[in-house]
Amino acid sequence: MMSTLVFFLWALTAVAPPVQPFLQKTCLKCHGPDKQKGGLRIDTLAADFNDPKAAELWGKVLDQLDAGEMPPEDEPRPTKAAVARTVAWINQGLARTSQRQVLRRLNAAEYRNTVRDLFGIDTTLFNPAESFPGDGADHGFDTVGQDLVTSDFLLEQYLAAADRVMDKVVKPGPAPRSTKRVFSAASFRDDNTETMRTPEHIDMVSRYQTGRVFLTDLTQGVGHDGEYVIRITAAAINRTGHPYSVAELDVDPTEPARLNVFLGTEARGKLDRPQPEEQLAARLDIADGEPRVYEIRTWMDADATPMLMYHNGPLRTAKLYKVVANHLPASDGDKKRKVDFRADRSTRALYLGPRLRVFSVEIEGPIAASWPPPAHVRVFGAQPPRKLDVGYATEVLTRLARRAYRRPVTAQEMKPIAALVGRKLGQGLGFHDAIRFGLKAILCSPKFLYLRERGNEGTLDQHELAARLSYFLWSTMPDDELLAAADRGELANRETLIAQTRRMLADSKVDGFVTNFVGQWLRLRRLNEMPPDRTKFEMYYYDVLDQNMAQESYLFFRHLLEQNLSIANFLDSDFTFANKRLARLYGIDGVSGDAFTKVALKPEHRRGGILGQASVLTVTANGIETSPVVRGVWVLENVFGRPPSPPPANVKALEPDIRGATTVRDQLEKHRSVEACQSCHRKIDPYGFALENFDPVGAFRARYDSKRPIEAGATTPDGHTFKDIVELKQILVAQKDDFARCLTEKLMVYATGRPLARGDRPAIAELIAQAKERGYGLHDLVLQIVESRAFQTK
Amino acid sequence: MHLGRRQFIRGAGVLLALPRLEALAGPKMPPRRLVVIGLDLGLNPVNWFPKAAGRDYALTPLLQPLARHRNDFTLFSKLDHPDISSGHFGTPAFLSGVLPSGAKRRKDGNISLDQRAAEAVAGQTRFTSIHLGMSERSGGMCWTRAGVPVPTVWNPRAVFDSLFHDDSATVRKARATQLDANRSVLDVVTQDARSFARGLGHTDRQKLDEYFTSVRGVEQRIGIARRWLGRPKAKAPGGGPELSPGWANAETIIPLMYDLLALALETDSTRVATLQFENTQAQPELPGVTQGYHLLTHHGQLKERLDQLFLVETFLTEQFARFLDRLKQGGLLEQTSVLYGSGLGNGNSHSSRDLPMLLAGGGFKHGQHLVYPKEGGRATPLCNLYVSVLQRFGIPVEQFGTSTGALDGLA
Repeated sequence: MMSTLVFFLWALTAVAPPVQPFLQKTCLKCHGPDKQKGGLRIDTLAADFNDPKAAELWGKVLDQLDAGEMPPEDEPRPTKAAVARTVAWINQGLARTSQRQVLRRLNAAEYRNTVRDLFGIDTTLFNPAESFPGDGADHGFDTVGQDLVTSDFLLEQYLAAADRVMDKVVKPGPAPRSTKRVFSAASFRDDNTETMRTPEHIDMVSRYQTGRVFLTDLTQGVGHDGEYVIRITAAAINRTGHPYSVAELDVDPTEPARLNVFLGTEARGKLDRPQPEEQLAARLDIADGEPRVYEIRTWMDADATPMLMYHNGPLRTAKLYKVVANHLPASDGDKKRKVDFRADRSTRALYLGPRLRVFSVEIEGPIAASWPPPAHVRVFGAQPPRKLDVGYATEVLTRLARRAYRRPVTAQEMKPIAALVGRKLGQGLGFHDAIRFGLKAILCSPKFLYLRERGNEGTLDQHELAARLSYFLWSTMPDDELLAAADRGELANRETLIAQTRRMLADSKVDGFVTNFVGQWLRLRRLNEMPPDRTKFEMYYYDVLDQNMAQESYLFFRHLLEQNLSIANFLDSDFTFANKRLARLYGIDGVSGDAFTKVALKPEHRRGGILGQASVLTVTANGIETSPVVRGVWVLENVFGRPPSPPPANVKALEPDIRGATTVRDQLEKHRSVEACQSCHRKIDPYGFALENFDPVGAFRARYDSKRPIEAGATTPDGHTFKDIVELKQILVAQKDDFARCLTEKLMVYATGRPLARGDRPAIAELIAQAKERGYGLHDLVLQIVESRAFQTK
Repeated sequence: MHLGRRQFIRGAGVLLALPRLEALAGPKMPPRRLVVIGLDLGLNPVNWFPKAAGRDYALTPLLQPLARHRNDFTLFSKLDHPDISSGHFGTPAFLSGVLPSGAKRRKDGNISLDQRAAEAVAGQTRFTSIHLGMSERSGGMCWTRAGVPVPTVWNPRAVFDSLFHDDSATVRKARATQLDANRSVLDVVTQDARSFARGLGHTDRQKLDEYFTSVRGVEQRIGIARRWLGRPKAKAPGGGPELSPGWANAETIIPLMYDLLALALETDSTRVATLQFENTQAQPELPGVTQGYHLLTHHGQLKERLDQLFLVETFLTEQFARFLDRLKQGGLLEQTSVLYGSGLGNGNSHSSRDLPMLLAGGGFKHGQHLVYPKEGGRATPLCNLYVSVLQRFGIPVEQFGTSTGALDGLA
């Protein structure tokens, strides 16, 4: 009865595969009309490998058969020959598939960098892509053409962004007059719990987030883009010689008081606290005692304004006044009770600890040397002709378009844009107002916004290859040297291509690759999506751990890249990068200062590799508690490159109970006794268990909050037993070929801008074999990718 | 002043267009409105869902604040989105039933309920739709047809000003100039796009269609903006509120956000509005609440957290009841379908099954607790409710998101 029903349904699918009997007998019980375990139904799956969705699902079937995972152990085993026949059939079908790159537009990060390099404007603080909607990254990276959508909303943002860029670039006329403005204590922010203001000065008492000092008369910014000199009169008070202990204040008496000078904008939020994007213009060591003047010179955008912060100050005053009370003599019982900086301001005088005192801030600029701005000169030339007519406009626009479109342009294609400017001139608009229309059109043209990769007969042309290379290694447009090499057709020459790649990897713009690739591979971009609880993990905020954690991961990747070290270091390493604050989280002694240094690791630190990095451990938690499932899935996705299927919809989710009677592990053991859960969770949970020794911000812990001890040992799905993360990492290093495949696939997707198809597998296997031979160096791996056919074809 | 013939015709065209535009909105049928209140972190199911189905269910603790509206709303149990299997995707799929990542394979993408409704009334009011949140972390609940999240506004002052504050003549003139400039730039880049398309293969051309569609979309929006630019905004009583936005002012901000929603509807500034209480670690400033909202939903059965969570959810529901009071008093509730619910079924377990959902107003017959038993392990799609809501809004849809039809039992 059953089988007739099944057979009937098979007949309905358009194309029935020749291996139908095998699938029917082996798979349909769980993946057919009655059940669809893992969401997979095979009887309705078309044998059409040109359908990307079907090909993807067939690929999954192939993986399961290949790995011997399916059918599950308790089901009848098919013969080896039957499996081999089916595997061969799927392989054959899939080998013909290879996805081509789909026309892709710049993502937000690339847009920002490209505008920076196209005009030579400072984008440290200025972000023309700020209000762009989030880029799609369904395949893990926002470089994949098919996932990057253009919408009317985005196009509106392009129009607005072009206006903002033009405001910075088109700067005719005389230089704005340089002014010197002095801000005394009267114009500093009003005092709050973390600051104390007098008519003469303001004291910053803590390093708490809302304790920043800003200038109430300058919240709209300095008014003009340009170089400015900022002079701050400041002194450190009571840094030593106070009655409080190091632990009570959480300060380091061996360090001078440090003043952070941030630049921010009111448009991005309140100026008394960290902004989503801000610039650290300087970190100044402030001398004790008499006030001195500290001078910095910095670029400031028109809307930028300074925010000052006591970088290494004590904890927030809500804690300090308890410290103050504790130090009052016992006879002062009454007073002791009443110390409260907020409720009774007079009690603030009782605080004898460190303060950073600022007397005045002077801002001078914009300094004339930066006029006309370099961006204006770049577009209009150092010596524009006397007659500013449409001919000259066309020349300016053509010169820009050649770089904006990353290829030579024809006079013909410039005509509509030049004609628009001509019309505007005809309507009586001034030259610079009229040419803005043309510049704006270039910035909103698909020729600028999209990377054209026609790939005639598959192979990218020289300019297309140059663009692919620069967006891979720099996340920005090709520079003049690379464009010139493309003009001369030299990138077809292997040696030149390799030499260019080496040059680009050595350039500081490689930061674009490091932050965008690592930020998405390790998901560091999402670090503050679920930020840690403010009371439970307060040090995360005091020590700006989010930034410090991410920094470690970026530096680590960059170091492997620069030194061509083995990618096995991602699995385990005897070094990492840390500053004092991160080292404190890790319990590593002997690291001082705010700057990151290379730190040697011992096994007892339990760090090393990405699985020891707090960034990864934090982003895989929800800011409150950890889940072995979430972390286990992360490991499968990002270390093995084999994400598990989503959980079936009809299984009741785990209901966490942290009262102490059970642990999450007990609950998961129970969960795994449910047959529907077991097949995936036996693969997921072991890796998560190994990471349970790290709390939601990545600090080591031996016990849960409930005091129950943590068991970190488990057995991997392929049968290796480990007792903790240290042993697990040894197992992972021994299996580094799996990781090599995972990382290579991810780099390939990022670099080519297309998802991989099964047809790519042989090429990738070949690439990995070569990398292995060469010792798995990261620099080598990147070179090999550039040399690969997949990279050089559409 | 001499008017050229061309200019005259253009001017007359605008004049003629006006009454027609108003006729579209139509005085005969009262305009339909839609409001969605979304709670990213859900509602503790133990305190929300009544046991009994039908009209005589006993009010649960979280429904107590809504007791006076009992006959103004319908409560649903066991509805959810069949394709969504993890709570993490609750909010992005809440109003569409579709994950952003799965959108491209569908004809209508992952367009959310509010945007589907807004499309149909674009241009009829100054704002096609408005979207409020509590902080910069809000967003990701409403999605356009192209799969783009619709941005939210969370500063009450900014909301008030854009609704009711007329810009100066200078600002309006500058805005008009900018809109016209954008139009002329779009004309040129469209030509540019055509020459760009010539060298491309089939798939790439298809992809480039997104660009052409976007140009048409922006042109349409410029048209609407240009039309409304010349008309004075609606007048609201009082001045703009001066309050710092955010959860730290929850006790005053939340009622204010509801008031702004009500004002926007009462002045017919928009017909579609959403308010999102987004996932936040912030501690809502409410009596008795000392911990972050997100932490409270991960209560792990700790009594202290459960108690505080109850305080937060009670407050949110009380304020929702106050909003219904106002719509009802102003006679708007009958024309306004108001949804209150979440894409998260249970915050503690991160489940996206059995979503809390309530529908008030809209001219439906209310007063019931409708329970949808699962047939063969499949729940009734929440999108069926959305089909019913869209139909009531005046859009004759048969299907939306993952729906299998309109919702049974709702009339």
